[in-house]
Amino acid sequence: MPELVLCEFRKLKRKRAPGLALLSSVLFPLFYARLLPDETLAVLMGSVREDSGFLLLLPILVMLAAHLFFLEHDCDTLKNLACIPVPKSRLALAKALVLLLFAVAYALCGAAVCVPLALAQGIPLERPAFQLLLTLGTGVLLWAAALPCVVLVVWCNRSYILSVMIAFFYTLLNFALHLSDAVMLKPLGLNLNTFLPVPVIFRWLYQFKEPEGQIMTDFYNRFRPYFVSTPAVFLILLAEAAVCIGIAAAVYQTQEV
Amino acid sequence: MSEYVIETRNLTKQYGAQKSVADLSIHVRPGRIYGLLGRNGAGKTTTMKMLLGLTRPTAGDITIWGLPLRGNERRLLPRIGCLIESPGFYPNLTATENLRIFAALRGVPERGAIQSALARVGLPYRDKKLFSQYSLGMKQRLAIALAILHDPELLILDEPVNGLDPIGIAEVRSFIRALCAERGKTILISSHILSEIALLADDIGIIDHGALLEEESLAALEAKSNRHIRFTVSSAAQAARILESAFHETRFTVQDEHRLQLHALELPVGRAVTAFVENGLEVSEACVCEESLEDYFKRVTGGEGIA
Repeated sequence: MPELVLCEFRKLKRKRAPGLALLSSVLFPLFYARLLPDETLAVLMGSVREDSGFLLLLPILVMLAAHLFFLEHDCDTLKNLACIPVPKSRLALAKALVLLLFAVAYALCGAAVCVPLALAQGIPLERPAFQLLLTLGTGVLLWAAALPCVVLVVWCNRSYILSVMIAFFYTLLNFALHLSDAVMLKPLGLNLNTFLPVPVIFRWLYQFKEPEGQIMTDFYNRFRPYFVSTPAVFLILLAEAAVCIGIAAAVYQTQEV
Repeated sequence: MSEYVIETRNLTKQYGAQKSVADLSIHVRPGRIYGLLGRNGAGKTTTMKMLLGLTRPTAGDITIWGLPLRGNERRLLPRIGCLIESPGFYPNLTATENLRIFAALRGVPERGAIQSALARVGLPYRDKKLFSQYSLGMKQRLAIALAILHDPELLILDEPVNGLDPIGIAEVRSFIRALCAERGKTILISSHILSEIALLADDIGIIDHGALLEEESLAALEAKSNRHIRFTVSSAAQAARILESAFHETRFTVQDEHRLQLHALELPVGRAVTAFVENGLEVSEACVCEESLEDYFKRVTGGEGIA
C-alpha cells in the first residue's frame, strides 16, 4: 500500500493544480492577519479550520478525488494496473489515502503560515501545539466529511462538470446546515443529524472556542449541551469514512476497463 | 502440466443481445507465436481482455499454464506481459517516469529493468520528452517496453505494430521473433494484417464475428492453399474430353465455358497444350496458379477486411 500511495503522488508530477490548491490554505490566515491585526493565534488558526477548511478544502478534496479517480480512465492506464494486478479496491483505498495526506498537508500548511503571521503582527503564540493539533484534527475530519461526495463522484464516472456541481452543492449544503438550529441543536444518537459530517465537526470545534462578551457566551452556553466529544467525533467520522471508502471501492470495481 | 500455455473452452462474451466472442476455443502452445487473425471488430481485443481478466466472460473457461484464470489472477498475471488496444500512460510524465511507476507496482528492480526495456524498443532512458509529446510509434514502443519490463513468460500483444513506420514494424517483428526463438517466450499476438501474422506466427487462429473459424499451424494452412493449372481455351467442355481421353485424367474442374482448372500438377502443361491445339482448340492461357494465404483467409472469412 505505501508503494501504491507513493505512485499516486508520482502521477501528479508537473501538475500545478494540487500545489496551487495547497497554497490556498494560506489565503484566509493572510486575510485575517491583514484585516484583524489584534486577534489571537486561535483566531488565525481558526480561519484555517473554519474558513479555509470548510469553504475551500472540502470542495478541493472532491475535485482532487475526481482528478485522481478519473485519471486512470482518461489516461487509459487502468488496464495496465489491472494486469499487474493491482485490485481496484486497493487502488481506490490508495487514492483515498492520498486525499487524506493532502488534507493533513493543507491543514499543516495553513497552520504553519499562521506562526510567522502572528509573530509579524506581534500576536503571542498561545498554546501553539494545541492549535496545531486541532487544525490537523479538523483536516482529518474534513477528509472524512468529503468522502460521501467522493462516492458520488466515483459513481458519476468521468463527468468533471457533474463533479464540480456536486462539490459546489455539497459545500453549500453543509455550510447551510451548520447554521441551522434544527440540525445543530440535537443530541447525539440514532438520528440523521448525528451522521451529517460538517455539522458534527462544528459541534466538536465550538467547544474549543473561548467566548468573549455576553453574546458569544450566550451562544456558547446554548450549544454546550450539544457539543460532541473528540472520541465521538472521530469515531463517527472515521466510521463514515470506512463505509464511504468501501462503497467507492465497490463502485470503482464494477466499472469495466 | 497442461500441454498448452493458454487454453480456452467455449469462451463467450455477450453484450446485450450481441455476442462479441462466441464459443471460442483456442490453444496456445509453449514457446510458440500464436497469431489471432481477424478483421476489425472480429473479437480479438475482447478475447485478449478476457485472457487478462480485464473483462469477465459471459460463459466458458480460460486456463493459463493449466490453472483457471478466475481466482488465480494474482499467480498468473505477474507472469504475463501485455499490450491491449492503444498505449495507456500518464501524459505529464516521461517514458522512464511512467515505467518507474509500473516497475514499482510490479516489484521489478527499477534501474536495470527500465533501461533494458527501453533499449530493447529503441527508446532513450531518462529522456526529458513527456509521453504527451510522443508520436504514435513511440507510444507503441513504450507500450511494448511496458509489456516486457518484468521479463514475462507469456506475452499477449494486441496489434503491436499499430502506428509504427515500416522500419519500426520490421524491428518489432524481429524483436518478437527473437523473444520467442532465443528466450523461449510464448506469444499471443493479434492483427488484422495477414502479412504480419504470416511473417510472425507459428500457429494461426482465424476469428470472425467472434467465432474461431480455423486453428492450424502456419505450415498446415499453407498446405491447404489450393494449387492448380488454369487453362483458358475456346471450349472448356472439349478440353475436358481431351484430358479424359488422351491423359485419363479426371482431376479437373470446368469453371465456365472457356476456363478449366486442372488439379493434377504432375501433368506437363506443354503436353496438355499440344493436345488441345492438335484437337482444334485455341489456347489463350495456361498457367500454374496458387491460391495465396490471403485468398484463403478471404475465402474463409467471407472476403473483405483483412489487409
